[in-house]
Amino acid sequence: MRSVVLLSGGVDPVSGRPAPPRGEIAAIGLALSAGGAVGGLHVGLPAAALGQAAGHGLGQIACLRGVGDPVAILAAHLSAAPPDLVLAGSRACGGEDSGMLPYLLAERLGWPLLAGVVAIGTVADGWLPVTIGLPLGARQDARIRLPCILCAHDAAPAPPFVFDRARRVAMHTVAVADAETIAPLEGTERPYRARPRLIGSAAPAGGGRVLDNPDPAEAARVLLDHLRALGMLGA
Amino acid sequence: MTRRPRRDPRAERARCLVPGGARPRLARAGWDGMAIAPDAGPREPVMIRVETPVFWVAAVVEAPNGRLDRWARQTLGAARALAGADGGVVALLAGRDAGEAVGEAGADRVVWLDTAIGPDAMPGVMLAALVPFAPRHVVLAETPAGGDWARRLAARSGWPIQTGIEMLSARQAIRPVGAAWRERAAMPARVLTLPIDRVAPYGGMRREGRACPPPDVPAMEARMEVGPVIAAQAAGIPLAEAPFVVAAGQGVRDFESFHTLSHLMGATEGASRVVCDAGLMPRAAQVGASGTVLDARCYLAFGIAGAPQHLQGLGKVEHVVAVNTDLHAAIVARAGLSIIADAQAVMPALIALLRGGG
Ligand SMILES: Cc1cc2nc3c(=O)[nH]c(=O)nc-3n(C[C@H](O)[C@H](O)[C@H](O)COP(=O)(O)OP(=O)(O)OC[C@H]3O[C@@H](n4cnc5c(N)ncnc54)[C@H](O)[C@@H]3O)c2cc1C
Repeated sequence: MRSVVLLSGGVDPVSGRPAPPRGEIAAIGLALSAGGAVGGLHVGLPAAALGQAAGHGLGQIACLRGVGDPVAILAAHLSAAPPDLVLAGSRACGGEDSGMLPYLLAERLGWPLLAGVVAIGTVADGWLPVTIGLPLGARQDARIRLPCILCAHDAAPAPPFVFDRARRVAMHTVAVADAETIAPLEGTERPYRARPRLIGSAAPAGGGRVLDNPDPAEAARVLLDHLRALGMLGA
Repeated sequence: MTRRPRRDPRAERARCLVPGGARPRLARAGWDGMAIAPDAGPREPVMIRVETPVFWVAAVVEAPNGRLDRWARQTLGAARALAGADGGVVALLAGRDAGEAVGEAGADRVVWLDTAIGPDAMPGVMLAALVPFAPRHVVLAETPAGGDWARRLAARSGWPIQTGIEMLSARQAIRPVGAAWRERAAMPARVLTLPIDRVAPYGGMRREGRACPPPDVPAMEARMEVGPVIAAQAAGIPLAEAPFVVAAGQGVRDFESFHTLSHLMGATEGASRVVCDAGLMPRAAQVGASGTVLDARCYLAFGIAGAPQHLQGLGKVEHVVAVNTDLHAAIVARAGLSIIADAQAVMPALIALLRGGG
């Protein structure tokens, strides 16, 4: 099994210093749990955040140096020597942060993609079993044909950081053919302004229904009906 | 005689009177009668019907158990805002039939999508469903499923996409970029995804929500199989993630019943600080400012007064239910349903009812 982890570089959302996004560290963890050779792949020049990502368990990172659409560059590179598994985070942190790259890559390569992966199993007749993490601790079992692209869930277990590994990582630059240019982004970019979320939508204003001193059986019936109406009890 | 016209207070009052309702209600200057709904009484079902709007806006709404949650309503509200007066809104309803709720939330047409086809087939089916409408925008919620479908749809169709929009109007969409240090303002793109609580739900008159035939599911090679959703075991979910929390305060003395009840309800256990301090519940169960802030949908509180430090832990909870002997406890003001009774009497009654299958 040969896995490739897509690395975006990026910054820490709080400090603004170079750091790999949470999801990419989780992706490295998934790649290591799959076993076999694991390498990092980045489009652009070697960046400080890449070394930090490597500290979580990558021996070598290839930086593709070419001009143009990163999706096209990645697709050309990956289809030349296709790995079994391509892993990515849920989205970058410090760029456009839309989370579109793995999807565009999957579309271009014609590979299947699953997002929100928290664990992967062992391959059986070309199918890879994976577990998808959903909110409130729910899980979904799935299986997917190889080769495929998996986006790691941010909360998937992250391998520990080892400083020495970050220092020793072999980063090599690969010159690749230029790809088509991408259309410039629309609109204007400016410093972020925090906007308050809608308030009052979460909690009903004022008090609700009050049952004063009911009979316990009556109280229990009303309470269960209320919980059922909210969909909190199974039946 | 002065030239001032004489006032007729009775006639003025009659003009302000809102028709219907058990008690008289007055609507003074600035209100027209329609803005205030009468309390009760017969009302004609009024509904907005749109036959051929100038353009369409689509919204993908998730209703896994036939209920539209607040996020789904906000997604439809955003589509409605983008449609304005000339456009129509078509809802792609992923999940079970939500009935009239979709029309009430602002949809003119409803197309039902089967989620069982799996995420791989979803963009193809969505595109097939959207062909008759050629929508100007497609709005999705940035949920795990909605965010995934939006990106698949954009990648398949090549339509431009803006994700995680924090401010949306018909002319502008603003979204954070660069690790939320910067933001980009642009015209709304073809595909849009919305985080929760950014756009208000539709508050206007009910719309038709006419059902349209579902699209054909194109046959495709199975590249992936996705199984059913497995809900987490209540006891195993961390308190911060639990959807349903049952909590005990100083007013609970019968902890045996409390544990039995939380088990029967499939809820995660919480407690107030006093109870944790007394060692009656583990510290990890403490809800509040110095404990855990919940992300639950429902919180059932037995014998909890609702101190400010405790209520801080309920920040995002949608539904609070309280059982307390004190009618004037602060939690009663926050609760959607309060039962003023002894917790030691209500808990066994609930257990009996749940065991009896009622
Ligand atoms: C710095 C600081 C941080 C704090 N952080 C937290 C925190 O994180 N979480 C937290 O919970 N608290 C916190 N507290 C404590 C908080 O102020 C309250 O003291 C505590 O929440 C009260 O807990 P209670 O509601 O269980 O008890 P009480 O205030 O004693 O209220 C008991 C309630 O139970 C009702 N009752 C009594 N008998 C019955 C019965 N038989 N049946 C039904 N109802 C009955 C009473 O009417 C009353 O409303 C903090 C305090 C400080 C100073």
